[in-house]
Formats: sequence, structure tokens, C-alpha cells
Amino acid sequence: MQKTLKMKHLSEEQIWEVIDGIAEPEVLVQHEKLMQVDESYQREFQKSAFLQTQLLKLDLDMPSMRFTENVMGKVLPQPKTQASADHSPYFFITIMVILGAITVSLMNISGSMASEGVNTEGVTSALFSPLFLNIFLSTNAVLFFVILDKKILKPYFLKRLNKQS
Amino acid sequence: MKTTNDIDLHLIDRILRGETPAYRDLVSRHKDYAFTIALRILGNREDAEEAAQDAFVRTFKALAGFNREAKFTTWFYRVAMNAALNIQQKKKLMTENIDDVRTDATGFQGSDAPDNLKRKEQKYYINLAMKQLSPDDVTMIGLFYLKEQSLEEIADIVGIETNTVKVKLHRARKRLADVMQELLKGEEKSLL
Repeated sequence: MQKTLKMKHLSEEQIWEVIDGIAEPEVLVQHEKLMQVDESYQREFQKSAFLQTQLLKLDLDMPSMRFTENVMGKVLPQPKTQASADHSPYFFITIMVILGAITVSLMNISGSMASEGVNTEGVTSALFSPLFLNIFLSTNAVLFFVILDKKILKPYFLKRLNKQS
Repeated sequence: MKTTNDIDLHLIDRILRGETPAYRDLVSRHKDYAFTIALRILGNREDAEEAAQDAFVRTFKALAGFNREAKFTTWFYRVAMNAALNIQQKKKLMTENIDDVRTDATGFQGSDAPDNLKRKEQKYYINLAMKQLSPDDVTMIGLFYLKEQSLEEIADIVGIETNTVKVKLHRARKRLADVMQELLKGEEKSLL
């Protein structure tokens, strides 16, 4: 009994070293002796051992199903789509320039033909006909909506979707 | 036999050779840990997901400068930890009110078998207690228990001495034990 009373408890740090399996041999010997004879030490040790058991049960949490895709989307910002999106304003401008050039050249041709006494009424009426104007304006409207969709709407909704997932 | 680090290095080589889609495999291998450590630090899934994604994007951008003498995980876990801490700093998260969450604990009373219920309860309380710890404590416990890193590896990841890691881990566990005691208030025995 006297021997038990004299035996010093291990410090908390030493108890954790025992639990982690990194305690010095003499600490281990003292721990084993204390476990046999000292109830208060047993309780103290079991408390830490209980916590250790709980910590060992800790699991890894899993992110959303789209996690990897979201990362890849940021790392590889969809090269093909991106390339076409980057070029779409140039494409729009080019089409506008071509259509403008055709219009101007047709006007010049019809003008010069008129000055030479050629009847250009047919050409000018075809150029400014409702059908031509409708096609011209519709093409521009479609291009405008395509660019609006690619540049503004699609990125906005994709971002929102990613945030929600 | 290939080690985990060998597989990581092989993937990194492929990525650096221009085979960028190989990064998908690297992400799949480490996403759970990056997300978990961020979740433990930040406390909510949305922020944790943002932090983990940010860590992977940063890692990808810096992959060319990766020092191959170190383990990839040592480097990546540091990036993941810093990404979570950065977001936490930005958002200055408020700690969750313990009492509110304690009320939620009643949700365990379901059709679960007693053993299963006890396991769920134990896991719940340890997770709840982890939320009360500082990011520093969470990092120590997370690295030591979730990824079973050695004290030396943790020292490399966090950038401190091994002995300091030992002390910090000990303190983190002590604080966790205190929080657990506070949360359970004498219920510990019933959970044993």
C-alpha cells in the first residue's frame, strides 16, 4: 500500500505517449504498475483512451458528387467552348463588315450603272426589299443572342449551378 | 510495390507532360481529405467545398514548381490547410451555438439499434467537439488521426519542429477532452 502511495502518476503528456505508442520503456513500466494498483490512475488513463478510441473513429467527409468536375472545370476551362467563345465577337464583327461591304458595293454598282443609263431599279429594289432587310436583321439578331448566351447567360447559370451543387 | 507517393508523382509527371486530364485522378485521390480538413476548420459544407476546390486550383497552377524530394501530400495538405484558413479569415465565421446543436441531438432517437445509435452518438459528439476547437487544434488532430501522418510529417506540413507538433497535438487533445466533457456533462460513461 505504501508503495502505491509513493508511486507518482504519469503526466497527461506521458499518458498520451503511452497511447500513441511512443513512450519510453521506463514510462511504460511505470504505466503498467500504476494500472495494476492505482484506481484513480486507471480512471485517468481510461478517459484519455476513450478519447483516443473516438478520434480513431473519425471519418473523412465526402464533398459533392460534382467536386472533381468543378475543379477540372476551373483547371481546364472547356478549351473548345472557350476558344469559340473568344472568337465569337470577331466573328460577329466580320459578318457585319462583310454584309456592310456587300451593301455598299451593291449600292455603288447600282449607282454607276444608273449613271451609265442602265436600269438599276431591279437591283436596288432587291437590295432594299423587305426580304433582304429581314434576312439581314434576323442574322444580326441571331448572332447577338448567341453572343449574349455564350458570354453572359451561360457563365452566369453555370456559376449558379456550381454554387448550388 | 508502388507507394502512394509514387502514384502521385507518376500522375504529376503525366500532367506536366501536358496530359492535363490526369489531374482528375490526383483530385479524386485527395479530395476527401482536402474537403474534410476544410470542413473541420470552416464548419459548413459550402465554404469547405470552395476552400478545397481553391486548394486544388492553386496546386495545379504551382505543380511545375513542386519539389519532388518532398511527399506530394505534405505539400498539398499545407496548401489545403492554408486555403481553408484564408476563407475562414475572409468570412470570420461565428462558432456554432452549442445549445442549438445539443437540441438537434434528440434526432438520434430513431429506429436504429442501440449499438448503432451509440456509435452514431459517439461520432456526433466528437464531431461537435471538433467544431469548438481552433483551426490549429483541428489541423493537428486532423492530420494525426484522419490521415495518420507521423509527427515528423505533420511538422513538415505545418512547418514547425516535431517537438512543437507533439506539444500542440497534446494540447489539442486536452482541449478536445475538455470540450467533450462540457458537451456530455457526465454522459461519458453512457457512451463508453
